[in-house]
Amino acid sequence: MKKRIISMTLAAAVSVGCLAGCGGGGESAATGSAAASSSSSGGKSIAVMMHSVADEYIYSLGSRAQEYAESLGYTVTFYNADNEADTQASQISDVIASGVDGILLCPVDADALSDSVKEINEAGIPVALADRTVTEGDYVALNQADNYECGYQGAQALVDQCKAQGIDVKDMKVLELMGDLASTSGKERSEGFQAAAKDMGFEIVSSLPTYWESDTAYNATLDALQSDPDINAIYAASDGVMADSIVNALDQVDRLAKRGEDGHIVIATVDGTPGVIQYIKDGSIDAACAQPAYDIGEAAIDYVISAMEGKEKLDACIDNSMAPTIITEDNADSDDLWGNNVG
Amino acid sequence: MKGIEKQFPGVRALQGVDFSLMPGEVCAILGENGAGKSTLMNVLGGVYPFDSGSICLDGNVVKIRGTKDAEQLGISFIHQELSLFPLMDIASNIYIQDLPANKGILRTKKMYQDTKEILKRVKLEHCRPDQLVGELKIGEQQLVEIGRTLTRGIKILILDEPTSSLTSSEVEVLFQIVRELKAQGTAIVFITHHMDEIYEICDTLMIMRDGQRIIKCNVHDITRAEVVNTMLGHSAEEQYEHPARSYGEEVLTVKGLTRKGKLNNINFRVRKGEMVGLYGLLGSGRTEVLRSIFGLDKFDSGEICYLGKKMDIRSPRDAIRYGIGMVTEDRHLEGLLLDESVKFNMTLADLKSIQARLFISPRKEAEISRKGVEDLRVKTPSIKRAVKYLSGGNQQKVVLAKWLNTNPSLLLLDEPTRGIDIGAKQEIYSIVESLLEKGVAVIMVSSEVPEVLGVCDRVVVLQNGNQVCDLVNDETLSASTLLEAAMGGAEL
Amino acid sequence: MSKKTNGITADKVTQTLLKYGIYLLLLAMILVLSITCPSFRTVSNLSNVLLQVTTYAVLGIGMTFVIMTGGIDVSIGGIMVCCGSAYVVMAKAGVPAGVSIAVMFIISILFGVFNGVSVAYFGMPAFLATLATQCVGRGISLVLTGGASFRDLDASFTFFGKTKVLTIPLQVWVIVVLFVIGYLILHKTVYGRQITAVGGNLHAARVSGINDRLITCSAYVIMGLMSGIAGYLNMSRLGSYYASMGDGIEFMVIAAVVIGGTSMTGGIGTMVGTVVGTLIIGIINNALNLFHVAAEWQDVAKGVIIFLAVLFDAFKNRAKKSD
Repeated sequence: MKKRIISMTLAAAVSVGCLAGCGGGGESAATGSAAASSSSSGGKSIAVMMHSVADEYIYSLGSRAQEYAESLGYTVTFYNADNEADTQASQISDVIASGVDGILLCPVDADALSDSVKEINEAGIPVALADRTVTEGDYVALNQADNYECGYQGAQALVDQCKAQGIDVKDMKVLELMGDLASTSGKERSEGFQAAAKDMGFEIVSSLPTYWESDTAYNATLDALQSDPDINAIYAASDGVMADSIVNALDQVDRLAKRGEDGHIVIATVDGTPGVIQYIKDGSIDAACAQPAYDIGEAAIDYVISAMEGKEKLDACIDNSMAPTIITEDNADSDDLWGNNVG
Repeated sequence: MKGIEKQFPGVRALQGVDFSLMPGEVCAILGENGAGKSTLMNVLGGVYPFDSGSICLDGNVVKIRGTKDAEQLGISFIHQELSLFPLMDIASNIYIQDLPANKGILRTKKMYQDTKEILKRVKLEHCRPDQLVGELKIGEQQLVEIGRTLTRGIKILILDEPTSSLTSSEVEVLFQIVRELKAQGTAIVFITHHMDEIYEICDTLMIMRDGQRIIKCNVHDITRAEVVNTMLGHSAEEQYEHPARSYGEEVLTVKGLTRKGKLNNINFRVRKGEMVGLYGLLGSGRTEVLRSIFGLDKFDSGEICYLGKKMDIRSPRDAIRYGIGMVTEDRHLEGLLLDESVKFNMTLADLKSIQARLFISPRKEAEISRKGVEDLRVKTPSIKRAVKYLSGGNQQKVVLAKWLNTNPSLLLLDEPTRGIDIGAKQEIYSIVESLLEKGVAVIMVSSEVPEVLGVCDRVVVLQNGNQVCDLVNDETLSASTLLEAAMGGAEL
Repeated sequence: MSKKTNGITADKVTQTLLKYGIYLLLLAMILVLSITCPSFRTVSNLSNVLLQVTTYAVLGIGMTFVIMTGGIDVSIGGIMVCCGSAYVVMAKAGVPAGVSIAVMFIISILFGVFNGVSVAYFGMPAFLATLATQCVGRGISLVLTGGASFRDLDASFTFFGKTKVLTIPLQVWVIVVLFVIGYLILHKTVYGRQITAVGGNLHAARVSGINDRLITCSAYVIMGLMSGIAGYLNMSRLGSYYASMGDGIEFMVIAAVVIGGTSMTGGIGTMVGTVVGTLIIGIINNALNLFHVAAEWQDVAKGVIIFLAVLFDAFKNRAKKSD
C-alpha cells in the first residue's frame, strides 16, 4: 500500500513536468534544424541505448526519446543491443570512448550491466535509465512504468467497465491471463491485479500463465471458457501479445459480443498497443492501461539534460515510476497515446 | 563353469553347459553360428548374466555381475569388434581404465615408459606410445587391445575370432604372444572357424551345437573331418570345388586404375560367367579396387570400361544403372538396415520394382522378397522379420538377394563369407555358381587362400596398392605361390 | 519351473506394454480426465484441444521426416515468423493476397532448401546449421516489421481461422489431411523408404544406390514448407502477425515427435506416433488449464510428464537393444 502511494505521488509530480515537456517538444520539432544550430545545447551529444527494439512499446519509447532530444538540438546516436548483455556492454565502452555528453540507457539485464554503469560513473557522464533498472552503479533517475500500478489500475478499469455494463462487482467472474511470472513485469502486474481484486472484492475464477506468448494466450482463453463458462470479464497482462488471441479465441467459440450486446465479456488489458486501441473503438475490448512510453522517453531525456546542465546530481538515483494512462472509448482517438502514433 | 543355462526371448541359448580350463591351457571353441559359443564366453566375460549354474575360479565360486567383475577376477575378453579410441594415442588406449595419475594429474612420462614395455611384449616395438591408434593397421590395433589386458594380471584370455582380419604375419605374431602367455600359466580360449589355427596353437577343443556341449577333447584325438562332422551334426562334403565354367564376352576392363597413396596402375578384365579373385593382404588395396569400380571412392587416373565403353561412374547409383551390384565387406555397416525387415532390405537396391504408381505395392514387395527367400533358402520365419534376428549367414543371403533383384551383369563381392559358418558358406558359393552359369561376371575379394583357389577362375594379386600378377587358377597354382606374391616374395 | 513360465509371461506383458505404451498412455490420460473433469469430456473441448495442437501437429509432420533422416531442425520458429513478416510487407505494399500467400510459402521452401543444402551437401551439423537459419529468419522479420504486429490480414486468413466444418474448425481438417498425406508419403511410397533407409543406415543406403544427399535435403524442404503452413495457420487462428510467433516452439515439437517413438538417431519412427505425441502434449496443456493449475506448477508438471514419456522411450530402446 505504501509503495502505491509513493509511486502515485511521484507519478503525479512528474506528469506535470512532462505535459510541459510534450508541448515544448512539439514546438521545437517544427523548427528542428534551427534549434539544433542555435540552442544552448552547443552541439552536445546524447546516446540512446536500447535493450532491444523488438516490440512496439519499447520502440516507441526509444524513438520518441531520440526525436525529443534532437528537437532540443542535441546530436543523438541510437543503439540497439538486441537483448544481448555483452553487446550492450561493449556498446557502452565505445560510447564512453567516443566522449559522449549524456546517456539514456535501457539496460538488457540488471546484474550484467551494473559494471558498465559503474564505468559510465567513473567517466563522469550523466546517465538516466529507462524501462529497467540496474542493481549497482549510480544514475540520475530511473524512469519506468509502474507495473504494479498497471495491474492495479487494470483491475480498476475492469470494475468500472463492468459497472457500465450493469455487472455488479460481486457478480464479476474474472479470468486473469498472466504474463510470465519469471519476468519482473509479469510478476508485478499480477501482484497489482490480485491485490486490487481483494481490495475491490471481485472473484478471479482462473489465473493462467501465457509466458507472453500469443499462442498460449489463445489456448488458455479456450480452456478457461471450457472449464468456467460463466466467466464474464477478462484481464490480460499484455495486449501486445494477447489482444488478438483473446478476441479470436472468443470468436472461435462464438462468445464474442460487442460492448452493449448480450453476453459481452468485459475485457481490460495492459500496454495500449495500436491493436488494442482498434478493438476498444470497435467495442470488442473495453479498456487498456497504456504504458506511458512517450512520457518515459521524454522524462529520461529531461533528466539527462538537467544533469548535464548541473541541475541534478549524477548520483541522485531518483525513482520515477510513472502511472499508466487509462484508454477507454472516450479517449481512444487521442494523439497523446503512443499507440496512435506508431506505424 | 557348471550347468550354465541362459535364456533369450524365444531361445534357450545355453542348455546346462559345463566347461573347464587348466592354467596354461589353450582351448578352441567351435560350432556353427548360433551354437552358443559366443554366448558362453559372454557369460564368462560378464557381458550377459546367466540364469542358472555356477562359475568357479581357482576352486572358489565367484559372482560375475558385469565386465568389471570379470576383469577384476583376471578374465579378459577381446571381442571381434575392437573397443579402442582411434583418436587417442596408444598409451592412453592401453591405460584408459586405470590412468596413472598423481592427485588427478596425469603421469604422462610414466605412462609412456610403461607402454613401451607393453608394446615390446606384444611385438609392436616399431610403434611409439604417442602414436594415434587410428593410424595403426587393424592387426596392430588388435595387438594394442591385447596389450591393454596385459596391464592387469590375467588368468583367462578370451579371443573371439582374433585372426579374421589379420594377415598371416600378424597371425604369427599373435600366436607367439599366445605361446608366451601360455608359458606364464594363462588359460586362453579361442573362438574360431579356422581349422589350421586350431591344430597349430590349441591344446584342447570343445565343440558346441544348439546351445549344448557336444565334446571336449585333446586336439590330437580328433581329425579335421570328425571336427567338421561333429559341428554340422552330419557329414560335410569337401569344402571347395567348382565345376568347369564357360566364359563369354568381356564385361569389365580396368585400365591403369590409380588412386594416390592407395592404388597404382591396376589392370585386369572380367568376362561373362567368369569369377576373378582379388587376393592380397590387409591394406593391399583389394577393397579399394572394388570401391572405385562401384563409385564409392574416386580415383585419380585410369579408366574402367564396361562392355567396351568407358564408364562414367560418380556414385553407386551410376554403377547400379550399369548393372553392377556390390556386397560390401561389412554387412552391418554398409549392407543392411538391421532394424528393418527382410523385405525392406531385399528390395532396397531396386525400389522401382516395387512401385505401383504413387505408392509401394505390398503385393509386388512380398512377391519379390518371397522369391528371394526361396531362391536363396534364407532361414527366416517371415519376410517381416527384422534382419537383426537372423544369423550372419542368413543376413548375408539377404544382402545377396538385394543385389540379385537388380539383375546385375557384374557382381562385386567383398569377403562374402567372412564370419559365416561352413554350411552357409557352401550355400553362398552355390548361389554364386548359378549366377555364373547365367553369364554374370563376378569379382571377389578374399583374404582366405583356400577360398580363392577353390572358387575363382583367375586371381589378381595385389600388394601395397600395386598389382603383382594376374594368374589363371589351374592345378599348377598353389597356395604358396599366392601367399608369396601377396607378401612381395622376398620379405618374411 | 512355474517361476520360469511366470517370467516369460511377465516378459511378454512388459514387451507389449513397451510396444504400445505411448498409445496406452494417451488412452489412460483421456480416460482419467474424462472421469475426473466434466468439462474435459465435451465435444467443444475436444475441438479446442485439436485446434490448440494444430501448430505443433503441422510442424511435427515435417519434423518426423527430418528426424527420420537422423537430422534435426531448430529453425522452424524463425521460418514461421519470417514468412509472416514477408506477408505483412507485401500486404502493406498492396500486393494481392493470393500472391503474397504464395510468396510466403515459396520463402518457406527456400529456407528449407537452404537448410537442406547446408546439412546434406556442405555437411554442416544440422543443429547448428538450422540454428543459424533460425537467427537469420527472426532477424529478417524484425528488419521487415520493426517488431510491430499486424492485424489487417486477408479474408482467406479469417476463413481458415474461423470456419467450421461439421462443428470442427477447418484448421483441424487441414491437419487431418496433411497428416494422412504425410503418413502415406512416409510409410507407403518409395520416397518414404528412402528416407527410412538414409536414417537407418546411411552407408547401406548409399551402397544401395540411394541418392542420400538429395533425400536428406528434401526432408528439410518438407520441413520448411510445413513451417510456412504452420505460420499461415497460426496467423489465421490468432488473427494477427506478431513478432514472437513460433519463439521456442522447436523443442516442444521435437519433444512431441520423440515421445511419439521416433528415434533421434534416425531410421525408426511413425507418423501415427507423432500424432499421439502431439496429442499428449496438447492434452497436458489443456488439462493443466482446466484444473486451474498455478503457473509455477504448470511448468513443473509439463517437465515431469515429458521426462516420463522420454524415459519410457529410452527404456523401450534399451529393451530392444538387449534382444
